[in-house]
Amino acid sequence: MTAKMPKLMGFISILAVLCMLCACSDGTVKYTNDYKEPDFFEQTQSGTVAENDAYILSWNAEEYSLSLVQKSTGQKWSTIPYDTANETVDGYARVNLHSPLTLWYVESGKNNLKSISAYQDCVNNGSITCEKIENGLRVTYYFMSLEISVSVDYELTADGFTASIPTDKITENQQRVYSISLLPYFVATKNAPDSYLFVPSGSGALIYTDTALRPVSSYSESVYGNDAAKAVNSKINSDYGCKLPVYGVHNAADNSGIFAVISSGAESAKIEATAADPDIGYSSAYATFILRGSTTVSVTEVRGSESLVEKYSDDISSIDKFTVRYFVMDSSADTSYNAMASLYRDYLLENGGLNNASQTADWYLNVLCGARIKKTFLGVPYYSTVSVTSLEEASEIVEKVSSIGNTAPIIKLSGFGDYGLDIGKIAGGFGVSNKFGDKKELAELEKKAEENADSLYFNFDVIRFGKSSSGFSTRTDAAKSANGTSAISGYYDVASNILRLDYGEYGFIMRSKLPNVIDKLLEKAEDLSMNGLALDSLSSVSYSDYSDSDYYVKGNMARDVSKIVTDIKSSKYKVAVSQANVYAAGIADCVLGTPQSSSGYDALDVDIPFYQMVFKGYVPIYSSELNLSANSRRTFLEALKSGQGLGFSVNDSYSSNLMTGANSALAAGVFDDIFDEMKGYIEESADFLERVRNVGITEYKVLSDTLSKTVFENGTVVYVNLGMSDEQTPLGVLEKMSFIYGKE
Amino acid sequence: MKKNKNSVLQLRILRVSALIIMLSFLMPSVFYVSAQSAYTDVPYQSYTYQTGYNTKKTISIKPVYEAVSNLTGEKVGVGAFTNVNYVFSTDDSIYILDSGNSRIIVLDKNYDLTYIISSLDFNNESIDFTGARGLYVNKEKTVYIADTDHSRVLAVDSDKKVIDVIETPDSDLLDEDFLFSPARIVEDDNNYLYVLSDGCYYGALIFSPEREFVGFYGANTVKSTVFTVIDNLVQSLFDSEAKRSSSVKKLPFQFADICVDQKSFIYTVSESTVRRLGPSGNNILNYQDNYSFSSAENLVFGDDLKVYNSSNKEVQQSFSAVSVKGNYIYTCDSLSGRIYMYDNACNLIFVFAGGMGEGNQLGTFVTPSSITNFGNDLLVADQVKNTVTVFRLTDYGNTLITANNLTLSGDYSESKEYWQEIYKKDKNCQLALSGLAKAALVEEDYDLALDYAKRGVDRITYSKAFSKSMSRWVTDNFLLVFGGALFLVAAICVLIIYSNKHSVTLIKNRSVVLGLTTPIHPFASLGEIKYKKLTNIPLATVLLILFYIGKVSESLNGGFMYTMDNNETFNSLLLIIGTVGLVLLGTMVNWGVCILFEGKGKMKEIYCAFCYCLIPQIIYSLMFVILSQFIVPSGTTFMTILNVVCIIYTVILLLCAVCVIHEFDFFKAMSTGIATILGMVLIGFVIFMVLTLCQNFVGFIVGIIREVTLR
Repeated sequence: MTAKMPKLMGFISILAVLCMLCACSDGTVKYTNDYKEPDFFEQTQSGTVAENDAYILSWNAEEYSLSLVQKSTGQKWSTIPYDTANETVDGYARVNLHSPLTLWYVESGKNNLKSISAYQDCVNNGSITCEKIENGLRVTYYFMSLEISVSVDYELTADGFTASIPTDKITENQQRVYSISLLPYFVATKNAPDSYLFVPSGSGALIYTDTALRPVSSYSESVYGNDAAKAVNSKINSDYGCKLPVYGVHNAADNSGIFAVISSGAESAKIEATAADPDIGYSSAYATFILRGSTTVSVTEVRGSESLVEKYSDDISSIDKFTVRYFVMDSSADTSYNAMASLYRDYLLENGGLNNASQTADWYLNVLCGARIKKTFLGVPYYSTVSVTSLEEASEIVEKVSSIGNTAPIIKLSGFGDYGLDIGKIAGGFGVSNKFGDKKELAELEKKAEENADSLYFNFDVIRFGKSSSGFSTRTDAAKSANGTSAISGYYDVASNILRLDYGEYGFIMRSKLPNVIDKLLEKAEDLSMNGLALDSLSSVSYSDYSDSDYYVKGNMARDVSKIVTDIKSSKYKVAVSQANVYAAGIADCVLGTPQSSSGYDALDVDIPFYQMVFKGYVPIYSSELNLSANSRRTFLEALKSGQGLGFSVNDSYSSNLMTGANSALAAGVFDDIFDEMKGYIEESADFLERVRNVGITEYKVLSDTLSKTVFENGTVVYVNLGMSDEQTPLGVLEKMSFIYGKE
Repeated sequence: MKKNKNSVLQLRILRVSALIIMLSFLMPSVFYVSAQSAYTDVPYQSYTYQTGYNTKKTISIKPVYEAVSNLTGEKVGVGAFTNVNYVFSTDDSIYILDSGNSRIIVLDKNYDLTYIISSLDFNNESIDFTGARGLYVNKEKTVYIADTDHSRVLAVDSDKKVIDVIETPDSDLLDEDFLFSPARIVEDDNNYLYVLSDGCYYGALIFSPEREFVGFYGANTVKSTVFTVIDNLVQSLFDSEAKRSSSVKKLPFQFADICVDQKSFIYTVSESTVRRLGPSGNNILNYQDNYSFSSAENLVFGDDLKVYNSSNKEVQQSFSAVSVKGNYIYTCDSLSGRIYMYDNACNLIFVFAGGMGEGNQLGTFVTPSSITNFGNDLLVADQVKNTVTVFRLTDYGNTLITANNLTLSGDYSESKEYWQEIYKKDKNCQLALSGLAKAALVEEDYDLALDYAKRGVDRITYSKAFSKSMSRWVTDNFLLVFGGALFLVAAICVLIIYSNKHSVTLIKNRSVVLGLTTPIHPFASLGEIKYKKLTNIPLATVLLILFYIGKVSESLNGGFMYTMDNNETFNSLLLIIGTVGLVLLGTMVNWGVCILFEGKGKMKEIYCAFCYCLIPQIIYSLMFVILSQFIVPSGTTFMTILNVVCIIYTVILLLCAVCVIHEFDFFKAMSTGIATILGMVLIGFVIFMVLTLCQNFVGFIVGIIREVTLR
């Protein structure tokens, strides 16, 4: 024993020293190609690099810029938004306007993020090479001071051109690329009255470029929302994110417009915009692609205080390329956001991203079943799920609402799993908990819904889980964060703003395991004779998983979810989604809950229902739950603006034990209490919604801050007044907070 | 065999106790309660706090106000604002102090531009008020500008002419180095002007209607505790002259904002306090909390917990603005950007807005500087964003305010329908439950009042309804009550007489009998236990567990009127330490101490004796749980006396136990008792230190592991 002790101690000491050495090393592991500067920066001569029937793509070797010329009109768009031949711009404006890329990088040896424009480090130095590719040009930008190079492929298309960043061509040494803003001043316009940028914040919004309207403003929002698996230490506000990967510009002076669609790698992008900067003179919208994931970790300092450190992933995303497709819009036609919506709808139809599902219901009911509450036994706390709507009570609700309005409603059942609305087992344990009723009562509910011609959907959370079950372990099957640990999230306290892990935490299913969860779900759905599945979380939440570089920075979320939804539909189930991103919304049978406004950023001037304009007439869309909004009348009118069906959230009863719980929705939806209000809204809108059912929107017009006009494909026009005074419209006097419709 | 059985039982009890303790440690890690707003169409949280329990919990509630627009200089049509320091409203106009541009923008009811006050003329001299931080407009439309940077107050008439300039007062009340930096102004109905000067902690400067300096008004005071007084005393005794002169003197907070209500009362805010000042400058704001009506001087307004920004840094409370309309007080926190709405009884109605110093969405702020009511709108100026945000009362908010106004004025029945409307829309509204309880009380529907009051945690209304309900019940069932009481007394008498006559023995085990009769005959019982070796550890352990259960029941199962804990806030771990832990520690320490004093007691004798002495406490818990269901808090004195009697009795029993078990005289028992208490404190301190060290060590190891993982 004593003889072995020194050996053991020696071994432990060596192990400790190795650990220390590991901790002290800079730990950089490189996965990208090594930076290597060419001996000679080979240039292409100025001139045409590609041409088709409609456009010419040409390269300017003096300015290192690309331009696109429409043959029929001679109209020209350039990566530098002004005419360099006749105008001169210097200083800060030149750095911005002449820069085809802006690079954010992680400083070597530190964890700081810093930015540099391609103009500063490439254009100025001439450290750019060109290489001809099919239908275009590959331009490689060498950031010599950083030893980073980024290639961009510019390719001519039938309706514009695409710009792509092939990830395998990115090279780096010590400094590591974090994100790249692509062509920051291509989707741009001179600051002027009536010109605007379109950004897809929430339902959609416009940013006017008039410097007299407000000071310079900046906007940035993640495409498909923030990374749900990236825990933030404190949550101080909420936003909708960008549900659609698009942006655009409308120039009122010459009626020109550019519409951009992020066609590859949208999940990893942010849409950014800068408007009315008098020092630059131009306003622009652009996409910034994030290549490296990160996670914020709390580190204990020597004195015991906690500090936050951002940990970046070693590898970059394995997505082949990040691509933005630019559509230049014919200045002789409509180039407003209405045309952009139409263009995007066509794009989705062409690429299989939009179905043509028929709408049969004018409203929907989200029936909430239960939630968890804390109890104690002899002072020892435990949790128990309390039922607020049993299956039997749900059947009664279905019966009671059957006579309201012109159509039967869609019924969505939520929170019927073991933990109710709280997050516990994956997909709520893949079934209906016996706390809410048995199989017989479930069958009764399904029968009742069928008799009343209601569509019945069961809402399953297939991505978040806080408890191992059904073969999915929170330890081994949870998505990883950028530092390799399991990605954890939870509830944020509304007052302190901090994540309260002591209140319960949950992880996200490993992205590669998502198909397994869906297989299991389909198996159980068949057992329970379900016809409709609601996938609220899957359709609205996007998240990373750093266990596989395919899923870095939310990578391939659109691809995976589209495939899942398609597979479920091909298994003869109907799919409902909520607050859904385009990849799920376009191919679902209905969207139960759409964003009713933008995220309300100060930079945004006017909200527009762009999201609704894209889907209306193709996918049945419904408003968010009226009784859960701050102002239900406003939400009702917002819904009617775009002819959406109405949504309500109900539960049969309420327990005051739920007061301080996580689900405040339960407090505002007791069925008997909201029945009259619900009925009132449904009946008030029934005739109008019948008239515009399955009809698309041709035009939406903002007439004033509070008055709007929407024209539907069948000629129906609706005016909505959200103001506090009456308005005169061609259809008659429109009272405050009301709507009027007809044909003009 | 019996011993064997006992040891098995002991082992089982130990295992169960260990399991319970482990569970108590583990359970907090799976607590699953929080609040997230369902109202996602506003970018910020809207919440209030559940009141009535010892620990506050947040509740998401339906928004009372919603942000509808941001007014900017460009939108108003006057060019960009620079430093919007103040916004003020009269019945028909809004005055925006665009301080950086030395102008005041006047808007009408529709937020359209009426006129601009920019170039001021005084004695043919152009006056600039860049840097001004406050303004006030009186009924005669005279505009008072707190021209901070120029150390003066300007009075401007409706023709935009400067009619008066108030400069640094010449008064003995002011220090020679007093710097007059007016930041806020109000005027009361008697035309007295109240001026807040930046850096002045004496209170507001009052100027007479003739604009002569009268004195100071309503200064804050430095709050001191016994500890701060002792600390100051110690410092004054031991600190050197140099150290004393270099130490920072605690000064009261200066007022951040001031406003005047319809009754000409002055309101002030500073840090986390709101004050309504009486004629003598004292705080006349009151609030009611758990049966007691007290001054709001020590009430912490705002969030009484740590609040964090997006960088995980704590955001301190710092009120920057106050506005009063009708029965409601609105305060705004400059650092968190949150707006707190209270009624005049200091009930927190609603918290909304926010931004934590980085708000870039509608309804969130960077540095809100001023707040004012304008009709049904609430206007908030942000001096960094240079905006005035318009919040509008929602339909829900309108109904809530109507209902609460009726309740505050005592029109409970009239408020009922409004509260019902509110309760239909938001079951989390405690005010609605309380309002409905009051309405049911005046309508003499006591059962309903009790139900609403209990759900709304309104103990005052509950106790009133309970008294009425009990009186009614007793009146209705007097014969039954009287007859029942007589029967009960008679039955007890018969039972006692019968048991004495026939020597009825309910319990045959002598050790159990001795244990249970210890409180009645302590010396005899404990003596017999010691000398006949009749200790009964299972009985003692059962009593100890009953003691714990009793204390749990006191906290959770007592009458609603007395129970200040609920499942959300109750901490069973602390209670285990405070009951079981204390007894075990006391046993060990007493054994150790008494050995030094030649005590004869053995560990198991001490343990048993101590546990037997807990019987009065168990009885008290039982009585509390039963009596608290029936006795209204006005009879709380009886409960307190009962508690004190039981405690004293328990202490006496413990002393008796020490005397008998260790064969001490009374004085020796007293001294060893004191030594035991000191020993317990010492061991408690050592345990605390060891746990802290362990925590630090674990933290160090976790830190290293994390560092290795992150690299």
